[in-house]
Amino acid sequence: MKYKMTLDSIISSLKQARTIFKPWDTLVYGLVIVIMLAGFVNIRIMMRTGRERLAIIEMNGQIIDTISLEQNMTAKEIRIDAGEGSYNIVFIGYDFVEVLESNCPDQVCVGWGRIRYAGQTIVCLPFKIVVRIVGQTDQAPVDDITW
Amino acid sequence: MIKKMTQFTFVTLAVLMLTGCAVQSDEAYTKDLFALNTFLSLRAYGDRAQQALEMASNRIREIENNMSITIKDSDVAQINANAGIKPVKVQEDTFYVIKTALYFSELTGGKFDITIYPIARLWGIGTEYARVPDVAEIQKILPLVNFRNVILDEENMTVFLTNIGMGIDLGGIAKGYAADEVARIFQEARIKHAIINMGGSITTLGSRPDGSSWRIGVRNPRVQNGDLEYMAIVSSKDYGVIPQSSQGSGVSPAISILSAGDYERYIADVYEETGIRYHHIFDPFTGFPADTGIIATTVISHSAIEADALSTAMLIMGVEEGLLMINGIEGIEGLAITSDKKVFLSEGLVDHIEFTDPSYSVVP
Repeated sequence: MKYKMTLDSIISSLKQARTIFKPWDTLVYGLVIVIMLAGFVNIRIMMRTGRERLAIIEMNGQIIDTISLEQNMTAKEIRIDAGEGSYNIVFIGYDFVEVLESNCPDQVCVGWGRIRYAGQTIVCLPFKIVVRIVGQTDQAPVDDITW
Repeated sequence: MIKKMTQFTFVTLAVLMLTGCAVQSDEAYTKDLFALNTFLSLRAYGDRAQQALEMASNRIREIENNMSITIKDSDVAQINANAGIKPVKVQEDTFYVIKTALYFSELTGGKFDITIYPIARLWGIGTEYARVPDVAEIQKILPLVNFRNVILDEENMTVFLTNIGMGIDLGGIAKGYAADEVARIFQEARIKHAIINMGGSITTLGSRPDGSSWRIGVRNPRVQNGDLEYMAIVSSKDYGVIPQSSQGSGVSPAISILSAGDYERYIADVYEETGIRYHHIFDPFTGFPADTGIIATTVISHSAIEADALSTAMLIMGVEEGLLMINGIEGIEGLAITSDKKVFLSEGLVDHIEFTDPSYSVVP
């Protein structure tokens, strides 16, 4: 009995609410449209900022350098100082990056070759240096490399 | 009535448009970390990916804490410190990995052997103390290498190395185990597409988001200036039986592609002087780096731990024995590259590999 009363009162207040809020319906629809548009624009903006082709150099998981790879750029060498005399020399071309020289013990980074597609990395494990390509490039012909 | 219907349609459409994106998202999430003595890069797709990546990286840290030889109180460090003294109680996963390693030692006639550690330490390859030891030094230490002197007690979860000076290193198998664990975590999170790179050990889950097979390059073991870094491409697809665990369950199957080679770690200055490549994969019977003519191997399996052990074993076994083994195990494929740039393929791989470097020739 008690429950039915509560239910009745809820239903009646809902009916009231419907009549009260009717003029607001248009506003709600309007808001939905605005939110949808905002989401769409947001995606477009995100896509644009993710587009620039960059070489990112990280050490110990921290980004220490970001180099834009442009069509007309001059190739350059960047020396990364990893402390206590440890270093890597990275060559930045306009469409590829490679590690030219390092005094790390295993030399895996130096022998790795060139990277040019988004998602590719060269890792110098002893010095915890990661060089990676991000942004819009052609799709890499392979998803990853086993070694 | 009509107005109500249009209202209903409009609201339904709006809700679908707002949420639809999230429901069927194939957005990629990545997690990179330095662990297990290498660089790991995990990529998973979909809503649940972020949480799954967190769980995976926590699990990797756990495995590292149990099995790293350089962490002082790890199971492995404790086992080694108590060699010839007493059995050591270990975590369940450490026990499982050691037990599996011993299984592969049996299978490969002792070519794969985790007790190689005293020899590896003597050479120190990959460290700044790397050197070529005297034959006498090697002969003195070699008797310590014998997987049959690892005593497992399943009931008490203990591991015992019977001789003082013995040591194990799970470096050749723990990465594979970790990859299997990450795949399991992803499968349990119902991740449909993922690609895991653990320092060159690749494990894929399902297909690419667009439904096509993952394409994995096989590292060119002798890359010259300007060469592509890979010499062939294999598809990450089922080459044999799909494990029962993923049959009809809607779970994306995991496929692992792991390699071993003499190019990963070797004594560079000795190589430049003499042309001899002293690398980090040792033959337990000689105490010297494996010298069978094979310079690189790749094994494809549903189990990364298996691919890890067998790719290493194959390099020590040589072409004939290695391929015989691979062809004899259902559901796995593999290849071996020799120093004269010949490529030997397992039976099931012949039609499923694409060569991108013409300087390598395929032996039928």
